[in-house]
Amino acid sequence: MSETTVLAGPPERLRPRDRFTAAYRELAPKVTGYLRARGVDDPEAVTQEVFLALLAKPDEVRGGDEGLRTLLFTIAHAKAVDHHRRRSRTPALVEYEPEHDRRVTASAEDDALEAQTGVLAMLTALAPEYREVLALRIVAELTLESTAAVMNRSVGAVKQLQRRALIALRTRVAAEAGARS
Amino acid sequence: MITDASDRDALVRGLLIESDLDPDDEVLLDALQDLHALGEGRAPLPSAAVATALAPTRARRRPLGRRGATVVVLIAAASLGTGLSAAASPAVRAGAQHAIEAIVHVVAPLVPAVGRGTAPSDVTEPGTRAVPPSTVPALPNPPTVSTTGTTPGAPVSSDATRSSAVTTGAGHGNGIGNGSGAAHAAPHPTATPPMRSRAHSGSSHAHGAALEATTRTVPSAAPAAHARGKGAPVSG
Repeated sequence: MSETTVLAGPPERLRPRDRFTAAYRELAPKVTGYLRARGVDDPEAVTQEVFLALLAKPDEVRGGDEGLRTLLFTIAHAKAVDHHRRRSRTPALVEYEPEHDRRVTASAEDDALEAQTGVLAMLTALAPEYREVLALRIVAELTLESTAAVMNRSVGAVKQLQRRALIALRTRVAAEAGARS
Repeated sequence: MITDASDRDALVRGLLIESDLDPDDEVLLDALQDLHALGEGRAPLPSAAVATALAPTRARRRPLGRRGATVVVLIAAASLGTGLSAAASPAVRAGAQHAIEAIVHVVAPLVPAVGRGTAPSDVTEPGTRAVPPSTVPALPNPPTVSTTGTTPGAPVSSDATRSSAVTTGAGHGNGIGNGSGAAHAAPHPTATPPMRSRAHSGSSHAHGAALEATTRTVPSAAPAAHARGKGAPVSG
């Protein structure tokens, strides 16, 4: 599934610094998108933490580009889990949200971002493992094997989980469309 | 990384086929493509810690090519040869000296003409104060009204010059133009600093003295003669 272009080529010909730079340019947007899909509050800042953790583990990068991706999203997965655990221990703070204020009207920027927030809203409504498998397969573009490695499950289990997640997503989207109409 | 729309569509359809679902399900296709868009875009700005680990992106300087190395060698050889011949032969040194003197001879007359108004220290004598170029005002027009009955270029008294200054409103007659040097000792109370500087020089600007008169300073005993020589018209 993954078709890495920047990291293509024999890894031994790239210096570690250049390889890290290529990995950041290629995979940082996906890590940020994955963390956003997982509901992390500050995905850009956590992305930096993920790459710093990757920098501290140069010996654990094995298996070429796919191995690098797997390790990177394993770190991102752990960071997301840490984030949700930490957030569950802290009191929930409710901030003022303009979109919930009936006294204001939506801006053009809000309308443009509606599709993206709609996807996030749909993901939020799914079970955490469904959200996890969809984010890893679609946002991070990981293979079934890499997704299984990140989620610490078998490939068959991931495949079944993925199927159930897609059906749940479709049900949710259809219900949302029916509610609008 | 998949960024093309057709590749993205193929990815999503492959996922649906893999899960034994309808690959043409528009509802799921749209939702999954929106989900895929979350991972697109540019990388976020790296933090300071990450940026130190990233390779610099600036272009490297090209190393000196063969042509550049040849030019450097030729210049070095020419410089070395010239230096050795100059050290060995007195005739070469004499020729070089003559050439430098000729250049100085050509250039030297131009220097005072250019810097006459900007280098007053060249003619400043001990005990006098040079007038900085910034304090030298523009050369005023000669007064058109003479209260003493003399020609405009003649030395006039301090009072006369003051009255003409009042008449013209130029304010340039305070303690200057009398050619006696008295203004240096007791300048008029209304004299402005630039005017005082002129009075200090002892020259008479009221009759169109050259700008060099404002830049040259002379001892206090000489201003009268100096003013007459520079600015006094020939009577008759």
